[in-house]
Parts: sequence; structure tokens; C-alpha cells
Amino acid sequence: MLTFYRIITNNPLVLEEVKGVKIELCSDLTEIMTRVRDYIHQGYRLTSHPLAGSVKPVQNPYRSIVINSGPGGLDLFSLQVLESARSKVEQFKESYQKQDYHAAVLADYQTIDLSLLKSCLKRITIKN
Amino acid sequence: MKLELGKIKIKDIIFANNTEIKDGVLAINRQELISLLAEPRIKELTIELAKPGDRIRIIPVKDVIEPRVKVEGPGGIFPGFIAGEEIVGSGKTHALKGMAVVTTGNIVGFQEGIIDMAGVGADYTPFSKLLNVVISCEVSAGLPQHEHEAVLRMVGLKAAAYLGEAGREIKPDQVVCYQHKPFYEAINDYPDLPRVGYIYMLQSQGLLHDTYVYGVDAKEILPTLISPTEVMDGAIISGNCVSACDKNATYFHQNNPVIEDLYRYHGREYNFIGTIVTNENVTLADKERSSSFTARLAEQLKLEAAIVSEEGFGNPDADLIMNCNKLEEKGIKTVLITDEYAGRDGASQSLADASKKANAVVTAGNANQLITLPPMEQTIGEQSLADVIAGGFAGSLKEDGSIEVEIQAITGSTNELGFTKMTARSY
Repeated sequence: MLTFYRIITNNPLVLEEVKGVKIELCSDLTEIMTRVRDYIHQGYRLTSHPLAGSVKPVQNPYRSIVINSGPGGLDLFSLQVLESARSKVEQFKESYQKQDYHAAVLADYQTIDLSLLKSCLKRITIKN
Repeated sequence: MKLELGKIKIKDIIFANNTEIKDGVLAINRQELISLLAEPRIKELTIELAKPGDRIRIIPVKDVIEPRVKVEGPGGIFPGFIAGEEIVGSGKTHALKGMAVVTTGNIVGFQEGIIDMAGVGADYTPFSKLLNVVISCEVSAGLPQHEHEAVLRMVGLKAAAYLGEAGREIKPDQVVCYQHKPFYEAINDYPDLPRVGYIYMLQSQGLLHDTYVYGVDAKEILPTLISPTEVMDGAIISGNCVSACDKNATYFHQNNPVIEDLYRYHGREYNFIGTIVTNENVTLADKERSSSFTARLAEQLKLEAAIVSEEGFGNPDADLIMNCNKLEEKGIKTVLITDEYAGRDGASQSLADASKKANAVVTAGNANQLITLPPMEQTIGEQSLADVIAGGFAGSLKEDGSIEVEIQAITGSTNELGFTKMTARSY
């Protein structure tokens, strides 16, 4: 069990596929970003970068972010990265309307998010 | 390490009974190629030709690859995939210029990548100027996306190697010689010129976001030195196609314009010492480690300046800025090449990260810029994807077949190696 880590996500596939890490389910991207921000203020640090690799924020309705409990105290670097990402997400919201994707497309978005999450988990599993 | 790159100008491509090059025309035995590419996981495979000016839309593009063949020297083209792991980049290689293999196939439902061979969209992609052998590939139902991607990737590489073979015995129209010397010699060659290196960032994050070096997934590498001539023999391969505008198709790696230009002025304006490949992983720890190793290698090479090219947008912006900061802190001046997501009006912050040290930045354009692509007469692939691709939105695909999208949906439109003609200048 990777006790130091938490996954903040709105991707239902993560609940099915990922075991051994504490998972918190959010309703949407805004809630994820807010919750991660709050955790950082409580002394957590970002493990994965809050922005996805290339599929744009908002366009992909799913996102999973990994944080760790860290040594305590506010990590300004994590906060700065998170706040920059939040402002980028807000910018993208202006251009993209929420779409009702076909179920197959939603499943593909979940798969892409899970793939990036697994890339992260593989690295931290090696570390621990 | 010395490579003679023989360029064979291809004037036309046709289907015929034998695959061969005669008077600059590449004839392709379509059935032979289809048989070569066939494997149990592929349900249907078709090959079509798309030439500059044809009213053809190719969507969604997976990869674009230039056919090449190794005619002398160790190893073979696309080491780790087609050839073995032997080090490439020396001897002689022939390249079929003016043409490419384009693969298309629906790995995920929101996949993007448009090449219009005519109309206004053609101006935004360098691949509209090429004679394209377009391979559409449908795989067996239920094949997992990771495997689907791997199947398509291999189809493209195999086809490019097969067509490249037709150029083995052909006398090239032009031969260009590239040399990469041991670092000690390179440093002493032009002691009075500034020592410049190239930091070559590769996206490496997961499905549809991966790049391979000698067959190795780049997320597993530590930053390392590579000869630019190895890259020309296909040592770096793309598994990367979202977003289409700023992903380095394999063709871009084979024809990296940063490397071309560094060679062009080498020995006159600066001393091009070497190239460092590095990755763009998802964890902040990886980003810290890779940027530290990159800066340390640059310091060991005694670089005075470095060109840093990014791949992609979003979390790779953090890698770009970390590389910049750590190089600058060691006294190595940097020039960054990136693109922008500055909103449709261009007024928003361009990148997701910033630094005062990033004071020399070249942009390849604003990927949020809107464009209307006119209807085409023929679509290779699936046009209905336009509504769900990055840069598309509900209603993107109009009844008349035109598409309103951001240019991020167009393959290579804001390529961060600077392959295209778009940029922005401030005065």
C-alpha cells in the first residue's frame, strides 16, 4: 500500500483498475483542482504534474492527479505549479463548451487518463 | 561518426507491378506491400495515394515517415524496430525525398491529425507538399488501444523501410555529408567559436504520448548523448499523435531542422558540439531528475549555449522551464523553441509555466487559432471525428463537409522543431 500517496480523480476507470493507493473521487476537473490545492495548503506535494500530457484540459473530461504527504509544511513549488495549471484550465474553459461525448469516446478518454496515471504509479512504485 | 545522406528526388508515385524507382518515379506494388504488412491483428488494410493539390483530406493521421535505406555502414534503418540494436549514423543512407508514408487509423474516438492536400488547410501542414502513400489500417475488434497503437506504428515503419529499399541501388540526386566528431576533437576544432549544443526533448508519458529511442520507451531513459546522424537513420521514432499540431511525427525526427541548421552554420558562427536527448515524464521527480542530468551533461560538454526544443504542451512546459533554469544557472545561455496556447484571441498566457531566465524564446505559432477548412472531394479515414478531436468542438463538422477547428488539429501545424513557416515576432 502506497500510504504516502493519494489519487484525486474523476475517472471511474481508476477505481476499477488501480489498487493499493488511496483514491478520492471528485465530480469534475474544477473540484479536482480545488481539492488538490487544498491538500497542498495542508502540506501535501504534487507527485504528478496537474496538467495532462497533450490532450487539452476541459477537452478531456477526466483527470487524475497524484499527491504525496511529503515532509510537512507548505511546498511553494507544488503550489505554484498547481496555480499555473488552474489558470490554464480556466483559460481553456472559455473556448470549449462541455460536450456530450459518445460512450465509446468517454471510455477512450478514461483510458488515456489511466495510461498517464499508470506511467506515474509505475515510477513511484519503483521508488518505494 | 560520418554519414553521407543521399537524397533521391521522387517526382511522382504510382501503383504498378513492381516496386522500383525509374526516372524519379516510385512505382509501388500495392499487393506486395499489403502482404508484407498483413498480420493477424489487422482486419483490413488499404493503400491510397494523395498528392499535392488533390482535394483529399486525411484524418486521423497517426504518423508520417520518410522512406530511407541504409546502403553502407553498420546497422539498419529504424534500429530497435526494423533493424537490430546496432549503433547507426555512419556510412551511407539513401532517403526518398518529396514523399512520405502516412498512416491513419482510429485508435481512440477523439483522435486528431488532419492533412488537407489542397485548400487553406494545406498551407498549415508541411505534409500537404509531399507525395503521400496513405495506409489506412483497421484492426480486429476488441484489440486494446496500446496494442492498436503498436500495430499502426509498425505498419508505418515497415512500409517506409520497404519503400526505402527501392532506393538502395539508385544514384542520389544530391549527397550531403554530416560529421559528428568525438567531443574532445569537436571542442578543439574551433576554439574561438562559441560551443553550442542541442537539447532534444521527447514526449514520454503514456498511450499516444510516447517516443522511442533505439526501440526503448523514452520515459525509461536518463538523458543521454546521441549523434545527430543517428537521428537521421531513424534512431528516434514517434508513438505520439495527440495533439497533432506539436507532436513530432517520425518524419520530423528524420529531418530535424534544428540539427540541419546547427550543421549549416557549424564552423562559421558557432561550434556545434553535440545533442542531448531527454524525456518529458509525468512525475515532478522525473522532471527534476531529467533536467538535472541534462544540465550536468551540457556542463560536461562545456557548452556555452543550447537550443532547447519542446514537444507538446501542458506538463512538458514544466520540463522546458526546468531545463532552461538549470542550464542558465550553469551559465549556459538558452534559446527555447515552443508553441503557444494563448487562447483564440492570442491574449492569454502562452505556456503553463514561465521563468525570467526564459528570455530568448522562439514560437511556432498559436495552436488555438481558429480556421475553417473547406470541404474536400475525398476523405481518407473518418471525417466525423472532427467534432471530438482536440481543437474541434460540437458542430465543428458542417453539413457541406467544411470543418471549423483550431489549428492544433492539423498535423505539424505548430511543430516545435520549427519545421513550419509560422512564427510570431515582437518589435
